[in-house]
Amino acid sequence: MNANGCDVLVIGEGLSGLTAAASAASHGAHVTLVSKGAGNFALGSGCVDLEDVDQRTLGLEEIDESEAVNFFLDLTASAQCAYSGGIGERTVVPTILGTFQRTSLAPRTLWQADPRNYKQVVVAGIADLPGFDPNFLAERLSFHAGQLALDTLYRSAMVALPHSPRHPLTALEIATHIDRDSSFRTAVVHALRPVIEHADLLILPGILGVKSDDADLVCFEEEVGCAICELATLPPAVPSLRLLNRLELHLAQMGVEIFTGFPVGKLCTEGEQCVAVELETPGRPRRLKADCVVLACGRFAPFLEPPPADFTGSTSSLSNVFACGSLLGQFAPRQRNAISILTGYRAGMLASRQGVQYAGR
Amino acid sequence: MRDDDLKLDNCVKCSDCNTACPVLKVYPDFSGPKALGPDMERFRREGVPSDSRWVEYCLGCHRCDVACPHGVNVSELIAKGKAQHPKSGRTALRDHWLARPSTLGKLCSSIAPVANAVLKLTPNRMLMSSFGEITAERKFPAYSSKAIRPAIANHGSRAALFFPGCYIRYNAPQVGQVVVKLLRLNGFSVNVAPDICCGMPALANGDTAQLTDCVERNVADMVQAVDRGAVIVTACTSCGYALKGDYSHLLAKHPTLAEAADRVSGATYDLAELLVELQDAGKLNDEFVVPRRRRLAYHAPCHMKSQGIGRPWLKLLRAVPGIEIEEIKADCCGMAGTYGFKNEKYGISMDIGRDLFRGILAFKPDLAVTECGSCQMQIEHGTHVKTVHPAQILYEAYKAGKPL
Repeated sequence: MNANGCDVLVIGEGLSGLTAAASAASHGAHVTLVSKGAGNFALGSGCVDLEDVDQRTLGLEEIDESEAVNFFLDLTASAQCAYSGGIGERTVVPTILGTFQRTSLAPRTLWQADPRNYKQVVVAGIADLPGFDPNFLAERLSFHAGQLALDTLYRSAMVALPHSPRHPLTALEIATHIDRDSSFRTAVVHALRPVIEHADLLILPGILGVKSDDADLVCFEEEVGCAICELATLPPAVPSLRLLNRLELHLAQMGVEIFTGFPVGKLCTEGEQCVAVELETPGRPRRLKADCVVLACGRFAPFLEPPPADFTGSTSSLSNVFACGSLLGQFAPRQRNAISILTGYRAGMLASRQGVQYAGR
Repeated sequence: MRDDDLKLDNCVKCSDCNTACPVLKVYPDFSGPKALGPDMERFRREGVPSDSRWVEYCLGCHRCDVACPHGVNVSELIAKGKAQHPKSGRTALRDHWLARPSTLGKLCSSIAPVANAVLKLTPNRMLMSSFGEITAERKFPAYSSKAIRPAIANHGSRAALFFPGCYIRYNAPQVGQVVVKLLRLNGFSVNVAPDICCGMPALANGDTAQLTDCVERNVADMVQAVDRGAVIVTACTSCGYALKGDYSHLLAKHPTLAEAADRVSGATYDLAELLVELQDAGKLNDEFVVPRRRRLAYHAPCHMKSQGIGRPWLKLLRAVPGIEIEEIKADCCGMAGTYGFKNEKYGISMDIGRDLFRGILAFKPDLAVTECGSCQMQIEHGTHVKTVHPAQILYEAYKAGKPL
């Protein structure tokens, strides 16, 4: 390793960047993760659909899909934000629009909301929290369950939480309050208990803390007395924010240095190698040396003009730069998370092999 | 199209800034950076009146800027709102003085024993609270009349211009002296910059005229040293962030000064940033003597994080034998310079700091360390754990250093 440098430098903190950083670190590399801010992954529901991902057209046939997917499942489990599902598994989960979405992997609480598992579900809205209408949701979910030839019954309920009456609530406010104040958390549990009645699943807007881990969520379910599914609301969506927080924390524990807040200004090259990355920091650029670079920055990165277009992972002109995620091409939105995991895993693995190889030289 | 327009249009309402805001976390009535920055700027441009009272509650911690994935200048837009927000009566008078720590410092340090005695008196603190809107819950930092002495050049040494900032200059000159000695030990000859405020308190209190005055005078003074090859060194992260800032919009009328400002900001280093560069190059003086065992809780100030320099003090102090140092990751301390001194904001300030206080107390350190003077005050106030500048810890590891 260089002074002020690393084996592998990953640019971007979306799903592909997080996976790549974890993959490289798990292969023994000293990893630095840089990003301007949270990626789009922090805005969605976190579902991953592996169906119809044609690896051959991407030139990805050498990626062992099950290895990458199992790596991701292990990663989220050790980060205490476990995913359920896997290759060949498939289920449907509710969305905030009252529809059902097909998915192969999802955060545990979302995954368990498969309508085939329940007869009675209660959708609880929070008074003064706009953007989550339990009546609308219950009606639409019942209708769509019928379309799937299921007789799952969705009914709505409204609960009131203690809050300042001066302004409408936000999901972030409730979540932060739950994180910081155990008496408020207890108040939430007490407010939810009466609406359960005979239901065996409770659907809520995502509010159960931005810092909670799996154990906290299980504990919450036990106290309320029912399985809970949280839906992603308008940004900032608490469940995905929590995923990002857990993954960041876990990466830091794996020894990954996380350097967020500053855009990459340029890649510094010498011949066919990228030797350093310059971040645009106040005063003057900050130069971070690296043996290998993983680009996980999406398609709109000003420092990549023109964008590299080599799908095989290594960019065409630089031998120690690997690309992953949506930078690799235009994909159907439904497939993006799957492609991020597959290509992120591989980019991290390839880069770590090279990085460690250099370090040992 | 101006660059500012592009930045504003980059706001896609993802609300990532709101997730990073320390005030919003404890005080949900606050409208948050998205509404107070880009949203209100749109209203201003359209000439639509909007309720600007909450801009006053922004800490100026810049965490929203760091969080924004799209490069929107959120805090700058909020500061613009602050500058235009009408203030009256006692609040206006108080903020006028809080924006001028250099004037206050000059006055109080010249009569330090008297000033300190008066500031400590309970009746005076009650008066300051009732008539000056300054909280009686906190002690004012004591003033000192000691001057920070420069260090004479050795042949072949590099030149550094130390910018102590108002807090170190008037309230903690002993820290300033340690900074000079550390630079001296690492091969620098050190001059001390004249007593001009960095402008950060003026920015935080919405005083654009005062900010412009500070920036102009500082740039005009320091550019000469920079052009002779000196580096500007700060040991207060808020001063450092201010000196590295982009003030092209304030200096638009003075193109030569605007160019000079770029050179000054490009030559400004945080002390630890400079020392860690030496360490990386294998040039740090590491003649550390008898290890003094210390368990330290480190707090990273927001204005250090917004400089994008990593965590240089952790790296430096971990190289010192006997020192165990951990970062307590609990976001902002809540003090934000003059913010925590204001009557109406004291409660919010302490609420924000609560997570950090708990984290530090749970770690059971011998000392807490942080490089920001106002974070130091807040940590001592909230935890009663003695809090020092990390430079003091590093200095005591050298032979010349005396125990704290």
